[in-house]
Amino acid sequence: MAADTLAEFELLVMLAAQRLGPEDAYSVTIAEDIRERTGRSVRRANIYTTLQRLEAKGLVSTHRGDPQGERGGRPPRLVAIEPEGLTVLRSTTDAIRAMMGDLPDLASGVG
Amino acid sequence: MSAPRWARWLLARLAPPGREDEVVGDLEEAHRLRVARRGRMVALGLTVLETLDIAAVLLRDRIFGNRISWIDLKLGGRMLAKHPGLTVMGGLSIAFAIFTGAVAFELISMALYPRIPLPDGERIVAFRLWDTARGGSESQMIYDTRIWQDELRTVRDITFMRERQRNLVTPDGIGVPVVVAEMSGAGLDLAGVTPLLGRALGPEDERPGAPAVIVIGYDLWIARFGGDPEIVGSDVRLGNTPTTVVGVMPERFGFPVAHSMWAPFREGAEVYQPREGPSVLVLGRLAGGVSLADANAELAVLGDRMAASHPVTHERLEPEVLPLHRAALGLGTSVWTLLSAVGLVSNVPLILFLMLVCGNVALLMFARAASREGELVVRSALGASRGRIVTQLFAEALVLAAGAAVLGLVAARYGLRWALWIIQTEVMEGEPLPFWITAQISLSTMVYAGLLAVIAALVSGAWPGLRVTRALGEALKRGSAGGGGGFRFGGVWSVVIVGQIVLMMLFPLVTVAVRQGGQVELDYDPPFRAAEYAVTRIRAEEGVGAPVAARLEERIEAEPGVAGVTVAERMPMTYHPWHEVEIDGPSAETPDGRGHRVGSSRVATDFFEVLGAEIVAGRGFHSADLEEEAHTVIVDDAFVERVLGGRNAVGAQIRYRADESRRDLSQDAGPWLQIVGVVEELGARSFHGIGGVYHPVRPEALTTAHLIAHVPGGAAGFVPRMRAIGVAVDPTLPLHEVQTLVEATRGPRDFYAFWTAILVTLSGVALLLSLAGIYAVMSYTVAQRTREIGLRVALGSGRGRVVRDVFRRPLRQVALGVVTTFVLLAVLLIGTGAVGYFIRVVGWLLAYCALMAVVCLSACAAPTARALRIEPSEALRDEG
Repeated sequence: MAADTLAEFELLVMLAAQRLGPEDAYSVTIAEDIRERTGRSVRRANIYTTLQRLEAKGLVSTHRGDPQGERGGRPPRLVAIEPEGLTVLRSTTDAIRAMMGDLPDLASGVG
Repeated sequence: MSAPRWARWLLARLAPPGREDEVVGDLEEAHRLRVARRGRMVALGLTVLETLDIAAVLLRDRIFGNRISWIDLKLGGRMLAKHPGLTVMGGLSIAFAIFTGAVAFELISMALYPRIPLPDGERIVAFRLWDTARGGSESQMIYDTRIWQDELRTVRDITFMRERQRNLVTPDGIGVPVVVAEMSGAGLDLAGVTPLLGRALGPEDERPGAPAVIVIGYDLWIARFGGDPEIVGSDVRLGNTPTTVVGVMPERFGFPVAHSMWAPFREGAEVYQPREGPSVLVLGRLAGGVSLADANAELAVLGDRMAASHPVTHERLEPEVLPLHRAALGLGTSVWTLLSAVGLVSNVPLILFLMLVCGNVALLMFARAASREGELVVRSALGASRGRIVTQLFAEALVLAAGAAVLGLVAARYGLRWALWIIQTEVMEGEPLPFWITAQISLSTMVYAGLLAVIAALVSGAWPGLRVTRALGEALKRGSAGGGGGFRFGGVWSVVIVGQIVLMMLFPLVTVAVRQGGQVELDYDPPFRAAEYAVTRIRAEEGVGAPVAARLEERIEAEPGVAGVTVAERMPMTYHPWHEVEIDGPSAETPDGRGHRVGSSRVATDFFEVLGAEIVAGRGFHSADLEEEAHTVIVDDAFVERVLGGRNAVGAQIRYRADESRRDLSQDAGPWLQIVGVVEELGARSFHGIGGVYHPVRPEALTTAHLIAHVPGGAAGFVPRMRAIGVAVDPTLPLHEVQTLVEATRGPRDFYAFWTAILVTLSGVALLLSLAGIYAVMSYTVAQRTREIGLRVALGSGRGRVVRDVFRRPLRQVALGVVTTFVLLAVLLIGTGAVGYFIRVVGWLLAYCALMAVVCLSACAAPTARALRIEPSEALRDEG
């Protein structure tokens, strides 16, 4: 049974996979995307574990891609977000947005 | 630019099947990105860290799937820290079970599947010629070796080795017996090991007239030559022969079996005809790509040809190639297969023992899980499935079991050292063990211990978890969980509790029995001062002629300070081989209805006199007893007590029964022997207890004899003198284990002391664990009924009646456990006829019953008193 909301790291992984799309999302690119956008260094072991968990919940599916030169001729395991995953992603981001709605800009430090 | 090869190899091995390329591809790509961004060196460091990180995750997934997370394990660790009592007691119990299993597994592995620590050691083989006519090995194989060297293609570098016992005399004049491996050709090269110093032996050393040379082992180099780096080229004597040391082999090298000195075989193998010449061990190396079966197939063809061409000598000989270790232990294929099966089966009682111990821990874990009812209900309400909760409890038990496994393995290393020492001193009688047997815990034993830890976690974690979650599910359905009383200790747990009570009573009884047996050993106070006797062992086949032995005895006796010298087959206070005896007349009953089994030794006629042992009845030996038709024996007073039930022994007759199971005895019963005297006990013991029979013997008739010298005032200082006398009488005479009698008998006493201490400690831990388990469960069971008790009191029930009701179930369980124990003991002891033991331990049994009752009553008392203090109105309000 799928969960209604996503934990923080699950959310980051899902957002990265959504942005990269099913042809480019796999563990290395997802880790890079999160690193570039958040500045956080991401343990790829965590990405493996998280993707496994999301796949077990039916939120994403994975399939074998084509071999690539920069990977020593080896294929990546591509990640695609399932409709149920998209629903959960929306409900999580909606919840965050709703909570953020009437708050002043947090970045300005004015509370 | 690529990631390190080992990293790619490691992740490819650990990746899920079919995903190896993807995982390694990720590693490659991530590494390239890092190199581009951070430079090669930094990228390499980061990739190494990442590889290890990912490997740990993949390994965990491999073992547990994705069911257990690091968080589960961390939480498990925290729970263990929170309950130190359970952690220590449960951990110690599981550690002991794993310790026992690991030592047994390692010993079995070493005996049956050892790793020979030589380059390609598993390809070194030995030849065996099995004589089907007499059911034994033919070791005169020099003629056959020549044929095999010429004809066999599947085995190369075939060579042979003869063992000779020589006396190594160093320049300081001290002689020590050493077993010299006389190697034919470049036999030592077969091992493929380079000498630490100097050179190995070569074919030129075998030539007639070549100087006498030896290569020595590392331990001998250190012990006898103080690790002298200039040893190569030094002269020593082997018996009377001046010999030059030409090389030193590295540490732990004892090829082919347990050798520490190597010399060339110089007799010329060509002179021997079939089944002639010295006994030899024939060795070789399997050719490349050839299996043992291939070699045996070729050898069988050759064997048939030999049988046809040499019918007189070879018709009943079957050649076989065996791995080196099996040949060294004399294990033919059929015996080895049988032993392998026995080794496999012996795991069953070990695992049962582990499960028994874990049952104890499970009881505690269940009680603890039950006490966490509220937390589990909350987790369940938050969406944790039954599987998740069981997994969490399993993870907690796994952390405990993993810690216990580490502790058990560390202890196993010491236990193994002890076990090997005991095997060497007691079973091998001081002979060295094969060089591949060392007190190291192998990787396979570590894996085995890991497996035992998982079994322990399943029994002590997952099983209680399943029981708890089932109870939780039922409670949630009833809507009663969260308020206490959700879990019930049902029938299964009653069985576990009763089982624990039975074990708690039986186990210490076994300990008491063993302790009593061992205590006999520890408490034994010989009638002589062991420290005043120096002993050594000599063997007839090592060329000790009767005149030499007699001269040695005379020379020692003539030494100032020596009061007397005697000779015996066995030393007092040591293990004696047993024989079953038949009494001509009444005798005491034996537990199994068979004859009494007692140790025996052949001794010189002055044996008792030199030891100062008193003849308590009858007479000592005379020279007339040495006549062949005399058939006289002397028994000790332990024999009189145990076998004859204390009746007068002098004049009674005994004889040894035929025993088909023992090959060393004849199939017929021996002649009747007359007991002419009774001597006070001298510590003769066998596997069947104390009590010994002494036969008179002429010293020269003994193959292995112990020379015992009485040195009043202390024999320790005389030991080096005894060695020097040995060299002076005959430099070729090897004197084995020259030491005081105290040193010679230390092994068995230490062995009993060690095992008694282990058993007493273990029994204490088991007792505490059982008591804690029983206490926890009973206390929880009563606490569950707090509301019920309050309500019953509120509704007018008498307090006495409530208390009786509360105590009924726990007391019933105790009673059932006690009765079961008595019944089991009765069946066991009546079956083995050891009713006397039952009478001796009945006091212990009653004490345990009392202890058990106190524990149960105190476990029930506190929660009952608490429940009775509840105001009736409060109990009614809560219910409403």
